[in-house]
Amino acid sequence: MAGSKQHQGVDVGIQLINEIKQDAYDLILEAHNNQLECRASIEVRNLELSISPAELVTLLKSHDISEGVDLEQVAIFCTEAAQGGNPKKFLIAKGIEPVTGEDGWFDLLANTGKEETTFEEDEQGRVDFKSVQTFTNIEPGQIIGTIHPPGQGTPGKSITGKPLPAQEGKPVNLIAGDGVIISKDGTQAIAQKPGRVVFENRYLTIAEEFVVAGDVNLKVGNINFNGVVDIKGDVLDDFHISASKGINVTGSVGACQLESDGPIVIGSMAGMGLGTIRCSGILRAKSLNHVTVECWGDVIVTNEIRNSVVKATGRISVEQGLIAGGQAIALEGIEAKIFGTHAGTKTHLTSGIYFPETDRLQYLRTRSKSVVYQTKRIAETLVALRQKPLEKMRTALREAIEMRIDILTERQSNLEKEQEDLAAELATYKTEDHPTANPKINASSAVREGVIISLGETTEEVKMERSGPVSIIENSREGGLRFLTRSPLKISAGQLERDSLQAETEGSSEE
Amino acid sequence: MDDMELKQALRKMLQVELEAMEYYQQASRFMQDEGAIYHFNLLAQEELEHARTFHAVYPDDDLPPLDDLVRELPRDLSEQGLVDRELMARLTERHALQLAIHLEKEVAARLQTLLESIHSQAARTAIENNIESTLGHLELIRQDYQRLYGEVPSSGKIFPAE
Repeated sequence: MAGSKQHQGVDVGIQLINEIKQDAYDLILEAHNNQLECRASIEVRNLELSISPAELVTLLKSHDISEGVDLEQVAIFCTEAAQGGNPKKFLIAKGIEPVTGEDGWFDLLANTGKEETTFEEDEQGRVDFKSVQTFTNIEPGQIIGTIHPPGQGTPGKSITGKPLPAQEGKPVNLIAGDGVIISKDGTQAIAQKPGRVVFENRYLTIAEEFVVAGDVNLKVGNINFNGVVDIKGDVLDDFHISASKGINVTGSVGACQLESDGPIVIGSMAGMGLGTIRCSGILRAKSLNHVTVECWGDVIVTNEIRNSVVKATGRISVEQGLIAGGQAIALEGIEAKIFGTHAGTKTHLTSGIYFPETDRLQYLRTRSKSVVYQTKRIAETLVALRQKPLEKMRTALREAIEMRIDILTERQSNLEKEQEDLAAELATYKTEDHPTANPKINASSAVREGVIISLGETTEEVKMERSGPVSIIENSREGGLRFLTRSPLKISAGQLERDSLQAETEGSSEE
Repeated sequence: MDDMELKQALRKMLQVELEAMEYYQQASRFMQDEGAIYHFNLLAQEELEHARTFHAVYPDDDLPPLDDLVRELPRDLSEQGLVDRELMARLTERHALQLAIHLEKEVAARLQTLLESIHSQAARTAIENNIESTLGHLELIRQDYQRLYGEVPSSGKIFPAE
């Protein structure tokens, strides 16, 4: 190319490709934008001899610039030049910009509870406003999220066709916190313990506690959590709280259902005959009123238990308060300051009994009775139905009778099978040995009229108030009950009875 | 159009039967009288069988399985005031049968109302058959009552005095 000169790069980021000084024109070719653009500038002195598109393309080719040449732009440049426009830094060729890879990202597969609640209508248009809970209960080993690696990106090409490498995307900035591990291949976040997912400030953890800062009401809804539930306020009526590891309620509880495989601690509970508590572990409360309790552990109440049915596989203790009305059934002893009321409210106390066994026996007997009754009714009904002259009846009535016969026949067969199973279980029913069984009741102040005490084979009603402090056990020699000087529950009824028998024997031998 | 009306009618009838079943089932939970429980459990099962027949003849596959529909039924009608648990606890077998007669009449009336808004012949036939079937069921309950108490059930007040 006549008159061409080459200079080194002029400005930062810009590289001079070629400079041509001719009589007719001065042409500069530059690489801009890190070799991604070729821009041309021209000063034309003789319009008739300005550079042609073919010449310009040939020039570009000589510098290995061919693929990205924009022929349309070349034509426009040359036309402008030939018209004296002297275009400057005119883009005539482009490379392909490399595309940086997508950043890695984390796909959380569990709800954390921060999601908005959407209430769904059922087919009848009803909405359960207590189904508010949005977090997911997590089990150990559960995959809680997927880690997507960053993308490689797409390489580009310079104006001379040289490959331009792409930058890889950034990996996701995730920190596996307490209770979370990342799989060996780095693609999964896995829970190591039960609870709920907390994902804040890049930290992914499993929380074993679910804290409700205020009351459990329609905003919070029913709770079902694989961990400990801690409620700082009250629990209003008609809510259900279930927690695998424990429940704490600072305030009071209404007519609700509390269920836990761990201990439960509450303030007072007014169950209105509908409230229930089931727990494995200690139950602690300030007071219980009209509540049904099944506790695989001890029941410790500060003030009072009134008109409730309380069953414990440990002991029932209201050391500073009273138990009045309802039933108390414990395996390892019952103690209170006062039992019963001045009004003679019937209060049933049973100790030394493992309630799951007696409940099962009661169920078997009740169910067996019910099955016998139903079987008898079905037999009577089938006889009556089969006697009907079906062929003389209108279709709808005949079909109704035939359906009923079918249903009752099947039911009869199922009930007969059930009766066999019940009878078999009843025949082999026996209670297990419970070494901690302690048929003993302690009253530190009084046992009032109307209190009914069942210990061992003896059941007796207190006809006249007894003052405490007193320990009550069964009199195995003469029947009835012994009222002894109060001793701690840990001194078993068995030990007290042996001591009593020994004292009686020694007393009679002295005589 | 006909097909759409038939599908809608069958869905509606299915809903009516399942609601009746759910009522009988939940009411029986609060009953104390063994005879009352016996009848209501039987009636619940019969309503389920009625629902099953409608489900079986539904002419499309856009209906969920019957088990799923049963599972979606509300679990506590007493909470919604639709079953009065204290009242149920006081009902005798006689009252339970009277209540059942009253309920079946209501079901028949609901179906009659539905019929009035239906034009498709296929749908009308299905509803008319269901009304007939409900009246047959009602007659069976009346006969049960008559067999047990030796009298025709009255159509007056059925609930025990407060």
